[in-house]
Amino acid sequence: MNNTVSFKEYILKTGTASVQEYSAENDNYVRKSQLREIWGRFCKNKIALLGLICLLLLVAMALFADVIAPEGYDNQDLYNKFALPSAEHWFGTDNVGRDIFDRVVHGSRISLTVGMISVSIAAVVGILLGSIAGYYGGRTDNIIMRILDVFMSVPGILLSLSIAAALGPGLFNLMIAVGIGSVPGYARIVRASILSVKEQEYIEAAHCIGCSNARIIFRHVLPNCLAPIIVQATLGVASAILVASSMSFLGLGLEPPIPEWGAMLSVGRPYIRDYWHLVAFPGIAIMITVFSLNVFGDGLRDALDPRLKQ
Amino acid sequence: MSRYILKRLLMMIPVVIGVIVLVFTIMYFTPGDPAEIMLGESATPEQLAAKRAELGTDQPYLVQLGNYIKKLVLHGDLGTSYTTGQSVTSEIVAKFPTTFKLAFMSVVVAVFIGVTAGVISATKQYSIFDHVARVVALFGVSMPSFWLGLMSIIVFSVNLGWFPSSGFDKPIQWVLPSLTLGFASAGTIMRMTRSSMLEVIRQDYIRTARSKGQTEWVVITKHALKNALIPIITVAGLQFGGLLGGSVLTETIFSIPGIGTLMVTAIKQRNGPIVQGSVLFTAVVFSFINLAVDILYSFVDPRIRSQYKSKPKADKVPKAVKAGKAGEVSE
Repeated sequence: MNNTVSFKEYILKTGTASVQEYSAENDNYVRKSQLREIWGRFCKNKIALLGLICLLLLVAMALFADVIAPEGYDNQDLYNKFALPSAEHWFGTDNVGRDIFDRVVHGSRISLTVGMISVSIAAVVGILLGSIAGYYGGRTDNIIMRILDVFMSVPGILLSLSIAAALGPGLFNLMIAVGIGSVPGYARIVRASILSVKEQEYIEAAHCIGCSNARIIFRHVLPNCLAPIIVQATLGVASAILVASSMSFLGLGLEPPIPEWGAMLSVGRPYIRDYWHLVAFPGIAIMITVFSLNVFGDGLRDALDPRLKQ
Repeated sequence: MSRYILKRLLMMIPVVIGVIVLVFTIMYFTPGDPAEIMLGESATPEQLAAKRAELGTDQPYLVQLGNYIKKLVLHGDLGTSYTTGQSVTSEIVAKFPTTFKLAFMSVVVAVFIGVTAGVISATKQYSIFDHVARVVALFGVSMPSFWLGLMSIIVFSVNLGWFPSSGFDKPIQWVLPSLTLGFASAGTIMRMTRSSMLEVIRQDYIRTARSKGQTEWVVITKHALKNALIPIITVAGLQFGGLLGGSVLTETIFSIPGIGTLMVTAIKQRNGPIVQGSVLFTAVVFSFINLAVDILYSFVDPRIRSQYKSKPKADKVPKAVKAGKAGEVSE
């Protein structure tokens, strides 16, 4: 009985993930899923929870954009342009009389899509390169990491801008341009995690029973590096949304009438001396989205790996 | 130390060559015919062909890349701007000081705000100031800097009329751009300072310093902050590099004639050499800043300085220990 108490104390003190918890009713250990452990730790962080709720609301807004703003995003009303925020037009109207609220709502679809897909592109390429580099080591590692060094030595936004210039405007091109810049980040994280697990006994055991290299990487190594990748991806969506809106603002991403938030800022910019509402609301939308992703990502990091807690 | 710097400089060469190849390749695949841009739509096919031969754009990719590198290495020649006909190098050299000044002032703003707020947050952990500062820092990181720029123009320039909204000649014109550009970095630096300070403050030597009767100010600034500086310098250095690139947007908003505006205009005009040149130039400056940051460590931290010495001499060791000041070596 003494042992059980100290074990419980140990868990409480260290906050490390436990798969078992002592239950007084059954006088035995009950299996507790790791997911619930993580969720429990995540919920203690109030601001991260707020981030998650905001994020879910944003996703809901994107999914039900047609219900929330049935007028669509390109409904011009030239008799009613530059209208200030009112009960009829919550965020006012823009230079051709389009309702800014409708456009912000529809814009969430684009920003979230661009963020998630460009991060997926970056993560898939980065994970692949990082695991090859980390697992095989030696010359392969050297070549891959030196090439990634080249990508890292160009400031991210400049790289994205020049790639966008080469590919031309458009949704998919924007995603690629935003994604490529963050590939090295994922590759480095995966490589570091793989280096830390690949010498462990269970990998050796997998070798011994004749697993192929690909199977070892995907079944045994990568699942153990998942936590930092998930965190990096969450924070990555935030910065991807920022970069994408910056590029659209400069006119190198998506162009009007697409209601991309950055492009909306670009449309409103010439009129800021007289009509503040054209630029205020799309910017607030970007800020709230990025803010909730950032706090959610921070909370996730603390929940997934309490040792990293700052 | 000088051997280390030399080694780092040599290691930069392959990276720079890599950047040249990368940027050249990206621009090579950019649609648009330079000859058409220079001669306009009225040019005859013969004129176009002659211009292509003159520019060398009718050559295969590898030949063009070879020529570009050869010209760059031998003469420092980055090519000629398609629109103005001037040399790219001279255009960049003319615009770079402005961008550098903007980035530098933003880093100063960011470090000043970030370190001050971070230290106060760490020393008064969980106080109201701490909570407010952390939320503000998070908002700073989450805000697009160009949006902050637009809003500050609306508030401080249009409504209050305190600062001008464009230009970069007079010091009063520097205020808004460097504040908006520095604000996001201040958030990052504040977060780093806070966590780094929190770690240091719990060390034994801080308790020792306090118990020997040292004033709190000296304990925090001299004993704690100095040891917490390494991660802060790393972040500040990275931010500086990021700001050089990030100034693209700030320059556009405040109509500042720097590399950023040069590059954005060039991209829109399909002016390849200028884009190539400015990306390459910024990347090289970025690498030098990273090197400078690594060298800076050794001035801040004698423990790192001693690692650089390939053969530590007996008479140099006491000096390093002395410079470290008793009680500051935590490991």
